[in-house]
Amino acid sequence: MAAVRQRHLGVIWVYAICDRPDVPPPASSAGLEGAPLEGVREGGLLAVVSRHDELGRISNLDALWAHERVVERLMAQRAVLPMRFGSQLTGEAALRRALATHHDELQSALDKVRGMVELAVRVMGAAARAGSDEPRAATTGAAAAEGDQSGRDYLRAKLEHRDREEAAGAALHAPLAALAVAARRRRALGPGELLHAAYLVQRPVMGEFRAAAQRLQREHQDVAVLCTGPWPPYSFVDVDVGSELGAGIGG
Amino acid sequence: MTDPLDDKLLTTPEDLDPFARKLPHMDTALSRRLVADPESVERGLAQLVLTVVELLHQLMERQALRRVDAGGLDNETIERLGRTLMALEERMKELKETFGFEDEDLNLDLGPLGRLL
Repeated sequence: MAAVRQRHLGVIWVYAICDRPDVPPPASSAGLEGAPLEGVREGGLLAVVSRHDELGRISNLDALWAHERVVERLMAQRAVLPMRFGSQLTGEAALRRALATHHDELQSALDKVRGMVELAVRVMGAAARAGSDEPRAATTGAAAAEGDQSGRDYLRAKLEHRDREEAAGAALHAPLAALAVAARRRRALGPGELLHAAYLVQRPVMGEFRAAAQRLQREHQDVAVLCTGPWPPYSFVDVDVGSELGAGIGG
Repeated sequence: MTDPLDDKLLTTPEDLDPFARKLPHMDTALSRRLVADPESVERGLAQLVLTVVELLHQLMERQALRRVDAGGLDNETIERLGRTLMALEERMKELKETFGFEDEDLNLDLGPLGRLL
């Protein structure tokens, strides 16, 4: 560690912004590349960071999990706004500026996620499991042989398919959303995905939510339900703290 | 080492394959580069061009469905829209076969908008 400190360490990787600035980040956990964690305090906020000489574009799964583990350790102690993986700044001044500028917004965002976890649900339709049943141009069927599939029929089939998937997604989403404080549906990750959503759930409700997901799976044997978590509330942090320092937007 | 994701699975279907199918692409998606050596540049370029065409195809299709939904299109227009999209889909299929691409090869991570395919 001493060897690392000889250099300038000008790059700051930000894991999360949290409350309780008087409590330092857990000394036992390390950040990216084993770097020690540090807290940068600004008013009622604490940004948890590690310093590096140069990181460039970090893009591998180990780093992703290292980032995630730091955020989760913090979550065990306090309310946390997870920063998007890859949030880095040059110099502490830029970080302090961002924290000061958005101080109140960040604090009210922290209030919203305190005691909550994010649960993610993806549901694949039967079609996605067996290959797609999305209507295709009838290149092999009888219609194609005669060249008479009408454009109108083609569009209608596409419409019906889309409506069916939307209805199925909505029916799966409703009972889960009822258990959540907030929910975000996302565009499907691929064809046949009926539901791709994040739910902000009070920690004590997690068990009930999980049971609801399992019930969906039992009731809809033709789909595949995947529920993961608990995650830091990446999908429910909307404060834009600057272009470099992204809160968990998108994904 | 166990996969940290294992701890995160709360409800899993019997068959995880449809979800897992995306996983091998995770690393590539995170570190995708256009490799510019002479052997792969042609294929890389074809992939790039077809990805863009597929993006346009998807956008056109969504827009067409929205317009049909909204009503007010006469039969002839609907027929023409449908035929255009059908022809585009067929042509894309041929091109994909020619270059040996799967649907997933022409996928594009659109960030907050999700993925293209």
